[in-house]
Amino acid sequence: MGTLWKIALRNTARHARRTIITAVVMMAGISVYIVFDSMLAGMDRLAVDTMENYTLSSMKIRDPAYVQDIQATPLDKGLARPEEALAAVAAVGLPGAARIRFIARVSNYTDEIPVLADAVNPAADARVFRVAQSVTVGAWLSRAAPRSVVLGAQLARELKLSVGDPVLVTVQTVHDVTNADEYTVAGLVSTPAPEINRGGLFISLDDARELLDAPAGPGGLVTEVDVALPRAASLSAALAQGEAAASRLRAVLPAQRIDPIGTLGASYLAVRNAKARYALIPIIIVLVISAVGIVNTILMSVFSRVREIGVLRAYGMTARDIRRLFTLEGLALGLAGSSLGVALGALLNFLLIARGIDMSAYTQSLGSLPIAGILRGEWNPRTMLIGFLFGIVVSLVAARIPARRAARLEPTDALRFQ
Amino acid sequence: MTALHLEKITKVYRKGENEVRALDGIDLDIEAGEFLTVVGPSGSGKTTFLNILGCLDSPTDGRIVYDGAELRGLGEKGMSAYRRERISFVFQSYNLVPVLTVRENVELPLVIQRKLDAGEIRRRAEEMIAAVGLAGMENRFPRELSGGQEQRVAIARALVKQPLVILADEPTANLDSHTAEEIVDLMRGINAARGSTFVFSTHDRLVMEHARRVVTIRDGRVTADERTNPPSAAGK
Repeated sequence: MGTLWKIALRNTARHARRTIITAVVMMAGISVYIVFDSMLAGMDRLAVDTMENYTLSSMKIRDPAYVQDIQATPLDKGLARPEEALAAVAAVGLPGAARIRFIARVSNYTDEIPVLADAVNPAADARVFRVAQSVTVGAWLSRAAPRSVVLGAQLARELKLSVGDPVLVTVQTVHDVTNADEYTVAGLVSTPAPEINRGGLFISLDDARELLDAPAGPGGLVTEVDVALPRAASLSAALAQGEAAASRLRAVLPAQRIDPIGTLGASYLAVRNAKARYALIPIIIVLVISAVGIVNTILMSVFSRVREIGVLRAYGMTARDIRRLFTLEGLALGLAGSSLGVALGALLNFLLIARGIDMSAYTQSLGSLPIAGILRGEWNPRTMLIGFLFGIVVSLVAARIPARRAARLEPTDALRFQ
Repeated sequence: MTALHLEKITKVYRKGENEVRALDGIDLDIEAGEFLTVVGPSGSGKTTFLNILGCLDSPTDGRIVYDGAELRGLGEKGMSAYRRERISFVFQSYNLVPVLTVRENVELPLVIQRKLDAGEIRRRAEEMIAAVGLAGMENRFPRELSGGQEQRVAIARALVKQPLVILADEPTANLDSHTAEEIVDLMRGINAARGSTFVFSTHDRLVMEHARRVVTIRDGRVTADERTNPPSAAGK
């Protein structure tokens, strides 16, 4: 085997140009695969960060019946004892905030836009979400400024509203009666979550309960308690941490439905995974091209060494040995291409992690995907191993075709070959 | 002692509906230590004869007995095994493996055999390289050698495994007359010193002059089998 390796490696080095071209194609395919996977992981992280910080929180405590009927945002299915849920969250050392989600229509007295509004405890909410920190014009809600709302910046633009303007908010009360009231725009928020920018309306719990004609006070209407968890080192760690925290709270609040981010963001992750599969098509094409390159390179090697094959056969090498010799050449090419691909992929990934890509400019074109801010890659040793092994396997499979052809050569024909 | 016994060896090729009888009932005994030349015009069947002797091809009919053992019905693996153990070749175009050094080329038949350890393989290869007059050139690659030197390496490669027979197909055809003479002298010297059996196919008068037996093949048949008295290798 040592001599076969020696012949294979030296032939690979001898035909340097062919080897380099093939290895470069493989390198491109594998490095693109590694970087692309890292970007997808980074996008996931960014998306989950956005969901945790702006729209969903790390964990939600809701009434099981409310979740069952979530599309209707049923105000009659709020948490039975929200103060109990908040106390349980505080007892495990996590920040929690009560919210009411409700459907509303926002009007500037000329045009009207339907929104999904959030009634919040301004101080507590700012410890769970980062919406309060995203106010770009005006101020966040406060007890000092009652009867005010904060709007998504794009929503305000569409309704030609600015800070200080009056705004009419219309809802269906808990008694299913239409009610409307006028508020003042206190601030505008611009967040990485497009749905908040386009349709976010934030109002204090007290104002919302009055508008919705819902029970007020400490035991008043709350449709969900949102909980924040510390940012984990990776997405998988974040998902595991969420599940562990949910398990702890489920033991204390057995009657409530407790969903960590892995469950809350499941639909996004499923969509992302489906899109990722399609996105892998160009990478597979690149690797197929490199497989064709390997077949071609080794076939050229076979044709340029027909007499050598004849000599080796004459000296007693079996057809199997010849097949192995050219398979080893394919393996050598695969090792070169895979190693270079992983090295380049790691280098590009390092840059992606260190510098990141500012996604703010693409927020609009990404539509409803909650991806904005600086996209940074993530190290994934498994992807590097898969890329490396995939390159090797592609090389071995591709090398089989010319290797079998070489092995089928009759020694007498090979020795006669000019 | 008879090294090879050939009996009614026939080889028939079919080309469509036509039948070409390349060898037509050849009977021949080759003694151990012979220096034998097979001559004949182009297309007479010399190469087919050498291919069959070298287990590179099978006869359509007839018997071959190598050193007392009859070869019959050997498959691809059996033929490979026989070549690996008992037969060596020297080619017109030397056919060294270009990416291997002189020593690695000479070691190759022993490496393929997988019977000896690396140290013994190296020792034997160096001994053969010295025997063909190339001591000191062990680490050169074929591209760094002259044609004559390449053929010497090919001879060392052929001899290193101490085969039953060395088959040489036009070994001097690509060499100038002076180098060809050196190579023929070298082979004769080895033949005399080690008792190695050489069978040549050649058109080269120089090789014929040095052969102790000249077998002429015409139209696939042995038409002459002459024993000669060549000038001694030592006399050169």
